[in-house]
Amino acid sequence: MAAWSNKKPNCVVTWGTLAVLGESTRSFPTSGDVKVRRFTYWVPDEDMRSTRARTLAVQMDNTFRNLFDTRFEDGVRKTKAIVAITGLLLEGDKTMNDLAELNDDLYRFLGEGG
Amino acid sequence: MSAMRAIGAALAALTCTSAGLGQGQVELMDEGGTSVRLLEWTVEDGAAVLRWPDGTEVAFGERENAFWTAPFPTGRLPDWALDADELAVRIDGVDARMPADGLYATTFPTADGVRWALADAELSAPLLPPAPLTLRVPESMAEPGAESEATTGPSAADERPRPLDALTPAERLFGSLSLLDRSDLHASLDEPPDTRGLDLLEAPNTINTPLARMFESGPTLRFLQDVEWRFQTFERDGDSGLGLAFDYSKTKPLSIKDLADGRGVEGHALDLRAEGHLAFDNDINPSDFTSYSLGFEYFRSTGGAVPALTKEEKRRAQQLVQEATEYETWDEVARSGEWREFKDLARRVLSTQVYWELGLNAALEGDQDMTERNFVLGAHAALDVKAWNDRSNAALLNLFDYPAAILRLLTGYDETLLPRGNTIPTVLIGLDTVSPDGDTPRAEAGDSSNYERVRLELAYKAPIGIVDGKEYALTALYRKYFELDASDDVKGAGLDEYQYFTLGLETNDGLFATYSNGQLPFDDDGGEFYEIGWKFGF
Repeated sequence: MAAWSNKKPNCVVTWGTLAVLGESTRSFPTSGDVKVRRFTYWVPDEDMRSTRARTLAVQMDNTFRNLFDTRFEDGVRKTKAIVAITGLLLEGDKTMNDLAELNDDLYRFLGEGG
Repeated sequence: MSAMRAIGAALAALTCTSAGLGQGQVELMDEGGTSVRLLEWTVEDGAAVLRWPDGTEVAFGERENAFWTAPFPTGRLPDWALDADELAVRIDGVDARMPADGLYATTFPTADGVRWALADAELSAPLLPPAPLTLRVPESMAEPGAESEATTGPSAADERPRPLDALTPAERLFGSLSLLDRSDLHASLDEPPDTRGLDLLEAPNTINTPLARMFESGPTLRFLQDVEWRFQTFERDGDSGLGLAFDYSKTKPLSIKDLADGRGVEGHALDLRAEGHLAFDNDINPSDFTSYSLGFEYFRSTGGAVPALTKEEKRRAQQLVQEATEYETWDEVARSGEWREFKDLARRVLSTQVYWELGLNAALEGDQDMTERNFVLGAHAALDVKAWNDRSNAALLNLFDYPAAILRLLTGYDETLLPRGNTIPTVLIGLDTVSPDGDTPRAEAGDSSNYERVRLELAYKAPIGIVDGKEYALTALYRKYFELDASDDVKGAGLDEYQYFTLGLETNDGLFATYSNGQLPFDDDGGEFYEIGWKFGF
């Protein structure tokens, strides 16, 4: 796994997005290994967890593109991005760093160039 | 040094002693701490050279009498290099990288000198055989023509470590990792041995690593990785017991597209879900309900954000977040000028998101051994409203969150009484046709016919504070089932309506305590009960 680093725009924007949405309120240095099951959307009811995961996945996409100057990677469309993020959000042991890595594959963040 | 720590020290096993400047011996230990080989080292041209019995020489480097080793307890020494972020190693021709921010240097005073080791903070590296460290092969280090993961943009490439053979000897040894500052090394000589991370009892990866490997071994076991388990002890009406609860949720969106007016998205999805509550003594199972279901949904989401910022303002937003990453605690972040300015920009963008779905579902539900069971076909609607803008009216009207907001104020988590819009409960209402089978409570009351029922569910979760570094969250779950046009037998037995409420407190390390009150469809009698336990996953 690639390192959790504030030199990586995908890590910075993922952290900032989850923090401003109130899903995880930890400082950046302590956030890389936080598991998604600790986020606010993760409730102890599997019926509504998938609903909440989809809500958050859509909102993360909204936030990336409206609050930050973020675009999709070549060949990535909204469908693929939201499907992938939703899937990861339902795997409780995935970490914020895992999510940032996934986002790096889906989005082109400011500072990556290209 | 405790026995466990001694073992941990041995696991950091490739350590060196210095008998004086310019020469010494490297002691290679096995996991039991037994010395298995001594290698001679000498300093030649500014680099330390290790000589293996077969004549192989491996050069590392040298800094006065301090000597560094890579965290590999067995086998041949790999080539390795440190840059700002990662430790890169080349083992048997395979390039591997691991995060460097979890690495630390430690010293072990001995009778004949000081041993030095570079280890991973949770000992996961020393416990792993070398090759499986491979996580990502950067293009710059991959063999020509070999597959490597895609990377994005030239600046990302700029951040990658250079190939090993492109680094100077000093870079290969020390890179720019600030942790390996020379003053730190010398300061530690006069201090007690630094054994951070070497206590196996404090290293969850010691156990999790082999478990993770086992569960990665096949699709069936991988499935279990997605299940959340809760090991718990409970008390109900004076009886106490042990139990294991599980729940699983997997969704497969089939399609997602923008709405025609561009104000949101819509799509279809398949959901697979399971939950259960297993008590070792099923006679006192306080929540005797297990369910496996498959659903198909149409969903739509509108709102959530508006395109209110210019390109320059978006760049400013990312710059502010970048600066906020430098703070060590959330309290510092929240009080910083950078975060406040960023929040002001965010409030111009974030709005209330309305997500709803309509679905069909099929389920098998029963008690824990499925001697009582229902086959269920139904339809449901779910609503999830999130007021992401914390100054919006919808957030302020989130009455459910005021108790948690008071707790956040009391714990100092928030500076003001501020209900959160992202904690508005999710609501689900369903209409089901139920076909009971087996010895259900309804059958015992004299009615085993099919019936229709309405179910209502609410789920809520909110943070309430950070105490002694531990984050606490409040959770609540409410379920209500009521039968439509129930027979007199069912009504007379009080089985036409069930409700169940759970209020929980959980921490970021998985501990939880819950209070529950009510009755579920397969409970013979309801009541209140308490549970304490912890959540875990593989």
